[in-house]
Amino acid sequence: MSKTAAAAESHHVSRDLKNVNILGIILISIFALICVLPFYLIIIASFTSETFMIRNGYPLWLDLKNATLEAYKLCLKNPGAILRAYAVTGSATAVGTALAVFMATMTGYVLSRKDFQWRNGFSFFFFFTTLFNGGLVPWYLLCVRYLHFKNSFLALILPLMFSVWNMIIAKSFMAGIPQSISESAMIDGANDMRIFLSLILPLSKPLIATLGLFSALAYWNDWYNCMLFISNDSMFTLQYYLQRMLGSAEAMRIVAEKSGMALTSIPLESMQMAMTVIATGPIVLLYPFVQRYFVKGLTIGAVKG
Amino acid sequence: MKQRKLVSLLLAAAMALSLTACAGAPAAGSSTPAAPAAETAEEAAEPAAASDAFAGLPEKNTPATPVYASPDMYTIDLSKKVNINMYMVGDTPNDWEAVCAEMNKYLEPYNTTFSATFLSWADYTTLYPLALQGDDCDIIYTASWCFLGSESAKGSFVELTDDFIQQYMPLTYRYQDPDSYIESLQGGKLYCIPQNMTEASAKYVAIRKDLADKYGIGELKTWEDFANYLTTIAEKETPESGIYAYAAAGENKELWDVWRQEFDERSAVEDDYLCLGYLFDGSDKAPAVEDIQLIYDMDVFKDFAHEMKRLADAGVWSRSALTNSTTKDEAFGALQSAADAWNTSLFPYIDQAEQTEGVECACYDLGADNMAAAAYGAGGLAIAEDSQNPERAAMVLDLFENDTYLNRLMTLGIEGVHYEMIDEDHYRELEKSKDFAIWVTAASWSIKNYKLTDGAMDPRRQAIEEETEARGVASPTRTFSLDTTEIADYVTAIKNVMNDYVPMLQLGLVDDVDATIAEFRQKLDDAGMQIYLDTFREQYEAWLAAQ
Amino acid sequence: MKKNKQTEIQVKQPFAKVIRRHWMLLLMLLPAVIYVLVFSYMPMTGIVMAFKRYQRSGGIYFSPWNGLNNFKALMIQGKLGMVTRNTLLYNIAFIFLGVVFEMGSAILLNEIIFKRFKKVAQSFMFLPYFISWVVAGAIMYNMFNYEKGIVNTVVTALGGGRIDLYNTPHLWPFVLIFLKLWKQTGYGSVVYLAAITGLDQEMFEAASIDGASEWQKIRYLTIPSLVPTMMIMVLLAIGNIFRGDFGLFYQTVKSSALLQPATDVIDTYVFRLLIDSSDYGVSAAAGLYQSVLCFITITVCNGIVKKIQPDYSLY
Repeated sequence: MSKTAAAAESHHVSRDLKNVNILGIILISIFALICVLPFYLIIIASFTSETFMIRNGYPLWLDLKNATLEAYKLCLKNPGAILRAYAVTGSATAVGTALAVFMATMTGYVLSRKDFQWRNGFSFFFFFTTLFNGGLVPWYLLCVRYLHFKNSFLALILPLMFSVWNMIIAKSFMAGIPQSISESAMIDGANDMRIFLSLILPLSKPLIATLGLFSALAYWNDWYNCMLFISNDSMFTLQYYLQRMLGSAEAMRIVAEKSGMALTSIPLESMQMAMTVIATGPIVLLYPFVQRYFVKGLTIGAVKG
Repeated sequence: MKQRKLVSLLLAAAMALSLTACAGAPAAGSSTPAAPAAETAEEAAEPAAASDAFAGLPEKNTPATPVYASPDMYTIDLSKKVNINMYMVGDTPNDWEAVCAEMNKYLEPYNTTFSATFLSWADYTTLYPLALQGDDCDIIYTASWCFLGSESAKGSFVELTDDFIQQYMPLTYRYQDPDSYIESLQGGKLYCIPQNMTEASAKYVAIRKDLADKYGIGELKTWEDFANYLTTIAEKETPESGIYAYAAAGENKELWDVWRQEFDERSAVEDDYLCLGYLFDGSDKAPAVEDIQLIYDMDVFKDFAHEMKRLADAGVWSRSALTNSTTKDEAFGALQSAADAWNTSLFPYIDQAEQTEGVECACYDLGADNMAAAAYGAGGLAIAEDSQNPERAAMVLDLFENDTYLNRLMTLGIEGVHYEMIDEDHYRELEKSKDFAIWVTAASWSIKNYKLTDGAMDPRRQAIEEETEARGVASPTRTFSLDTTEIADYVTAIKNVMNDYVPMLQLGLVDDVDATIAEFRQKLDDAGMQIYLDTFREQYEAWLAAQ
Repeated sequence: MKKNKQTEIQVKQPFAKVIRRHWMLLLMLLPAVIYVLVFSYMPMTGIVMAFKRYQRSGGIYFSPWNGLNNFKALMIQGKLGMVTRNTLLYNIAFIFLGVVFEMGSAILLNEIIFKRFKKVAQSFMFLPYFISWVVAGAIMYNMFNYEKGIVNTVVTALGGGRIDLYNTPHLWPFVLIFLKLWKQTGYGSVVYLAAITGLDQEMFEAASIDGASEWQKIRYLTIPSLVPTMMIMVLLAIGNIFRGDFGLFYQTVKSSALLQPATDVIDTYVFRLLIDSSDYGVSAAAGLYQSVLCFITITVCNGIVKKIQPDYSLY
């Protein structure tokens, strides 16, 4: 039951609930404002001319005199490419998230089963991979030479598909679901997979929402795998496409200094800002829809018996 | 029984051998006419075939005497169609497809196709070493700032020995000045073909002439004039309009270069901040080893550090200059500062600044009475060790370096579309040049054989370039290169200490210059500076003795 | 594979029996196991590069042996101890304060009854996650720039003295911790929020009936129920306790030698060490160094947790 319903039931808001709310609202408001302020500055800066920013730093409000669409024009110079990038990223995110959530929850479920003797051994087996890492070169060679990832859609999906982190979170959540549910289903003759799909998953909506969010964000923000494996520009992901423009400008500076050659100059600061807005816009707008899984209270009412 | 087995084994082996031999033969048979002649006739025929193919070639590769290659100049087997892929740094030019198509048309008689992969500026630091691990890299651009040292040490490039060049790159063998290789040697070995001409480089200063006029400052001839200009601006203009006299960012290398020009300080070894220098007197006799010092021990630097502190305290640049990320050039172009310093790359920014009404810039060469350093530069096109067809790659490289048609395609674009020639030495950019800018490809920087100038160049720039070329004198230590493979770890440690201290000393953002220099020097000693100097001494004396 | 020490309830089962009984579970594990073997364990063998001098001809496995020289290269400057200490201390602060802020904001958000406010506030809190450190560093520079920064303009307008942030090392730990919390709290609180929504509401109702105040409910019900989640998050973080967030420490601080003693971590140190040389051996050695330290730490911590409450341990 949500707090609102409970409050309504008691016909008045209890005094200390009110106090907690006041404190909560104040603290959260302060923090939320601190979080949103830079984004506000970013949006304004994305519409400000580069020369103005070099001279005066970031403006606190949008002066229409100095407003310009230059940065956006540069970023969106090639609308076809941007739309393609959105499409690539979108599909990779959708497919990847579904697979990632499925794998994390399934594996997490197995390891949460207290009757499975080897669960600690396997947990260690998985966790160990987060500790030791061979570095970029062996991984790159594996992917390019043996798995032939270059310019393949798989290169965008596979590297992020299984996250030990997500699995451990899943395992921890599912361990909280009472054993009695699985046990009674097993007595009824259901096999593990059935139990997992029909019983456990429906009870794990907050978990799925959480993992779905984390995975989707990981896929959406990924530019690294694209950089390593994709050279075909119709397959660029959104972040990489924009990152390239941005990183190019920055790296060109450094190279120009070292090699003594002037390379063409691009407005940098405002472009960075426009880039951030373009790249994060959709996800930020999507987030409120996912939110309700965390805000609404969901009970494990079916647990009884 | 055993004997039979042995005989049958031998027969089998013989059959296998003959099969492989046969497999080889048809290839020879179907190749271009000249090849079998070259292969079978060996020593005797080669000079004859060679002189036939090379007979029409000019003495030197100049604008007036272009070089055009032909397949019969090459001794390798051209019967199989092979693709040669070149890796370059930089973004893909818009018109690359069109230009590449022209290149491929020209390469048809050589039964070779050509393609290029561009490593964007954003990623090249990660992707470059990985590209050399891949399987599609035949030729790659490299430079002292672009992994020449570290990849050579790893054995990623094919060593270009004299024999190799003679056999597989005949035009380069014929035309490339052997002096040009020396600056690019790594541990005494050659891994890339550098450009074939020296370029004199100097650092200039650009100022806002309109502001100079405002405060009654005339032409700048010496450092004192320039410093005077800077402090005047800092004192009078900055409080008024907020623009800096000189918007230094991160470090102050350019002003250091401008400063030391006046002392004719040259470097025997120059590796980012790690420089061993001497005062050059113009003769072509190499200095004695005692005269070469770590520049941070020299008065030239110490005086510079003090002068920089003076300027910093006068407010010539921001106190946050160390962390500033907008470059001084961008600042100058955006009218955020009153002065800039660099080489001829200043001019694009001067143009940008002058787009605003009332702004006029001037560019001065404070070192006009001194000598300018002329050098080939370290770096160029290299052949990847992992290449499937290194000899074919060598041929393609040879062609791009020397064949005038291919060379110009790579550097200038398609004639009539991207550029046109005004006369032998001058070109003019056409409207479509923004899709394939002149000198935009990394390869073009290292295949220069002679100077081609933009006919529409800013006359100020032209004047200053000519004047600099005229006073170009090569350093006598140009042919010395220090092999640091044994002390690589110390070099890294030393360079890290330098990265920590040099920028702030250059920007004068320290409280006590002498104390900081002393501290810096101590840290260098801790990092192994003496070992480095001893290694240098040893190698230099050996080199000197061999002169 | 470790045979785990079982609690008294279960009897150790022989290998074949486990397979027979749990074959479906093992099957369900199979995709993840294959994935991890291919993508994590196979490349892990590349760690051997930490002991080699990489040569193209030998590749990863056959390059010449370099003993401990790669590690020596890390130690030559004598900075390794300092950056290790910095990394550890910063991470401890991040973990501890991170839990406080993330759990705290999740609890507070849950208590608030105004739905609209909750949704908006939570979205706002999430935004910093989307701002890359590059952009955050640029904004910071614009705010704290000595001459022109917004902060300094405000401070001088109020009559105070200018803050020279980029030349004052001792301010930076506070700045960096603040930045990390700013970026991470929204994202990290999601786990706690999801955990809270999964809590059994009955116990709260029972407590209300018993006359418990809101504070008491939080203190005695909510927080203890979140302890398992918290333990997992903390242990996971401890597994990375010797790894620094490169973006945070590099993009905001940029490269000022003055600030290094206060802000340099292992990752930035190694990055600068290798900036021009791409020496795979040294970077592998640095990675191995961090891995070993993390491994020792998590083994100890997980062991301690296991003794106290086995359900909270990672493995």
